[in-house]
Parts: sequence; C-alpha cells; structure tokens
Amino acid sequence: MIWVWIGVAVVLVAAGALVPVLSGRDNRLRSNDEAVAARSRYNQLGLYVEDGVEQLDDQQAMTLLRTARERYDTTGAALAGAHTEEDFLLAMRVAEEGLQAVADAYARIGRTGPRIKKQDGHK
Amino acid sequence: MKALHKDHWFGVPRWLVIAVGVAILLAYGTFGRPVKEPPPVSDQVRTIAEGLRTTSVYEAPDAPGKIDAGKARDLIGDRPIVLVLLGTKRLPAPKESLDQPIYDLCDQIATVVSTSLVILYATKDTGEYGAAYCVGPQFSNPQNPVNADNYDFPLISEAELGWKYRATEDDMFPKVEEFVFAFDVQAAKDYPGGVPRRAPVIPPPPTADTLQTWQIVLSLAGILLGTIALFVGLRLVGRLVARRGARDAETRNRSEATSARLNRLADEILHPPPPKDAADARRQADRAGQYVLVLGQFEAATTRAKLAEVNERLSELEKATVSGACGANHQAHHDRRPSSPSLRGEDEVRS
Repeated sequence: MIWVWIGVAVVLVAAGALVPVLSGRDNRLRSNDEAVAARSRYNQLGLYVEDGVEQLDDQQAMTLLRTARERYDTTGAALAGAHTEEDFLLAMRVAEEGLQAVADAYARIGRTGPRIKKQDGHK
Repeated sequence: MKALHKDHWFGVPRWLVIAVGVAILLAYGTFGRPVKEPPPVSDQVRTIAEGLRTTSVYEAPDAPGKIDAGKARDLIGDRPIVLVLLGTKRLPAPKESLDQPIYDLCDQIATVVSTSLVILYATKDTGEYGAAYCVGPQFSNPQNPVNADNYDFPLISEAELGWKYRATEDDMFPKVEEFVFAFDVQAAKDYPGGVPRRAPVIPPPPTADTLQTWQIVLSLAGILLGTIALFVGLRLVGRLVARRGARDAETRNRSEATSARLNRLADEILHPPPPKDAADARRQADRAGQYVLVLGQFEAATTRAKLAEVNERLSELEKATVSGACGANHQAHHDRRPSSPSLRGEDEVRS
C-alpha cells in the first residue's frame, strides 16, 4: 500500500513539474489575431483566384493573376501547417503578395481590385 | 530582464522560497519542540519488567537464594504485589549520605508495575541483603480507589511484628509471607467488593536514542531534498523538451518561408518571358536547371546551416531571374516586386 502512495506522490510531483512547462509548448499563440488575419487574407485572395485564372487579353495582367493564384496555393499550404504566430504571419505575408498581384492586374484592366491594408501584426 | 525576475527572491522563484520557509517552520514545530516523554527506563529495570510479564516474582540469576522464589510465587498468586530478588552485586554507593539507591531502584520498578506493590531485595552498598518496599503510582486508581498510604509504612510495621521472630539471615521468606498476610488484612478492609488482581506488566517500549532521532531527521531531509531534486530535474527536462519544440517550430517556419520563395520562383521559371535570342533562351534554361538543383538541395536540407545555404543560392537565383526579366518586356510584372523583398529580406536576415 505504501508503494501506491509513493507512486501517487511521484506522479503528482512529475505532473506538477511537467504540466506547466509542456502545456504551453504548443500554445505559443498569445492570441489568435494572426491566425484570423492570415485566414482572412487567404479567403480574400481566394475570391479572385480560387476558380482559376480567367482568360484576359492583357498578357501581363494574366501573368500577375497567375502569380496571385500561386500565392494563394502557397498560402493554403502555409496555413495547413501553421501552429505558431510566426507561421501565421508568414502565411499572411504570402497572401498579401497575392492580393498585391491581383490589385496590379486589375489596375491594368481597369477593374476595382482589392484594397491592401497592412495588418498591425505585419512585420 | 528585470521584470522577468521580479517574482524571484535570491535568484529562485518566490513561491519556492516561501515553500521552503513553510517547510522549515513545520519541521521545527514538529521536531524542534522539546517532547514530554516519560523518563528513560534503565536496562536493569527493563530486564526486571520482562521477568515480571507472566509471574509475580523475578529472581536474578545470581540471587543468593535467601528467599524461595517458587514458594513466594505460590504465596503471592495474583495479588497486586511483585517481588524482585536481585543478586549479590552491590548497588552503587549513594552520592550523598541520605540517598538510598535501593529505594530509587524500587521507585523505578514501581513506575513500570504502576498498579502493584513492589518488594525489592538487593545487596546494598554496605553488603547487607535487604529489602525496600514501595507503592506503584497507580496503585490507587479510579477503578480501585484506596488510601495508598495504608500500604506503605503501616503495612511494613504490621508485617515486621510478624516476622520479627520468624525470619533469619539466611531465610527471609517469612518477611515476604508476613507482608502478604498484612496486605490481606488491610485489603479486606479497603476492598469490600474483592481484592483487585495484579495487572499484566507491559515492558516499556524502547525510547528513541539520539542516533535514531538523527536518522529520522536525515531521512526526512532526504525525502524533502529528493522530492525537490525530482521536481527540479523533471522541470529542467520539461524545459529542454519545450525549448527543443520551440526550436523545431522556428526551423519549420524558416523552411516554410523558403518553400514560399521557391514556389514564387517556380512560377517565374515555368512561365518565362519569350526569349529575345538563343543566348537568352540558354540563360533561361540554365536558371531552370539551377532551380531544380536548389529544389533538390532544399529537399535535403535538414539543418539550419543547410537551409541558410539554400536561401543564399535562392537569393542569387532570384537576382538572376529579376535581371533576366528586366531585359524582357515584363517590366509591369516586376513593378510589384517591392512587395516581395519583404519576405526575402527577412529570410536573409534570419539566415
């Protein structure tokens, strides 16, 4: 019986020592602001390029939209594996590059494109 | 940095200092106070008590035999009287003239057989084999209240009248006999409901000596320090694991950033501007070949150093791609370039 109590005591000490350290291990997001912003940018970019690159007469605009599509895919891949604040910031930067490409392309063909506004968390 | 240590005292967390302080106070409160213990029992008294566990007479191996122990045992029976017959070894001389070591010893025995009367025969320092009589401190108790003084001097006086012409120097059994008879007379007066029986003798437990006390203190300190060491050790291991996890996450982030750059470059490599001439086409083909090599290098990059090398080669390739594209009619495409260096520049700084 005494060994049961010793075992319980050891488990309690181990839990007290390890839980506070390890519980914060995968919880390095101080807030989910970055995650929300990155996903918002990703969805915003998806509105323009999710269904593929439309055929345009302006080749340069098409090139820009193709680049935007590539940035969209890359953002999706980055978001899929994002766990930390830095991961989401990276995804957000990639998405904003895509949005910039869309804005440039739309400017060339006279459409109103996305308005790029840098996030506060953007480094 | 100062803010990080504001919850520290003496370089250790404040809660740990408080916990150790409370533990010390508790330990002092538990072990530091003087404990009221019964006076220690000598080995001689312990031996006598062992001998009295099942019988009313204890006879030392070197007893002179002036009192027949067997007859005395039969006589006393289960009366609350014990007879102790010590040997010829003399008791220590009194430190002061009025001291009587035989009475001290008798009182010590009486504390062990506390509900009985004690008759002790021993060799005094003068060489005389004599007796001491004493009453156990609990002889008069709530169950059998009695005036204990009646069993002290009056009983001896009564017995002495009886043994005066019976006892000799070599046969002292009548002294015991007369004392028992005197007890019966007095008990018949004091106990109308029946004379109480002799209580079983329980030898006193051995008291903890200094060595044992220190062993207890050391073992408790060992348990405490062992627990703290286990806690701190596990904490350090946990931190190492957590730090390694953070490092892995950072490496993964860098790898993702490099991957994003590679993706962007792939788009430009796969869709180059129309070459102006054969030399331009060869340069584009060379860049594509270099890209494939960098891609292979990236796939094999498992360490930070290798990843930094990939980023370096990637930067060179990006520069070559930009300069190659600048010569073509793709200027509009590269007007958006200012947005790209933010990613590249940070990666280069990180590397």
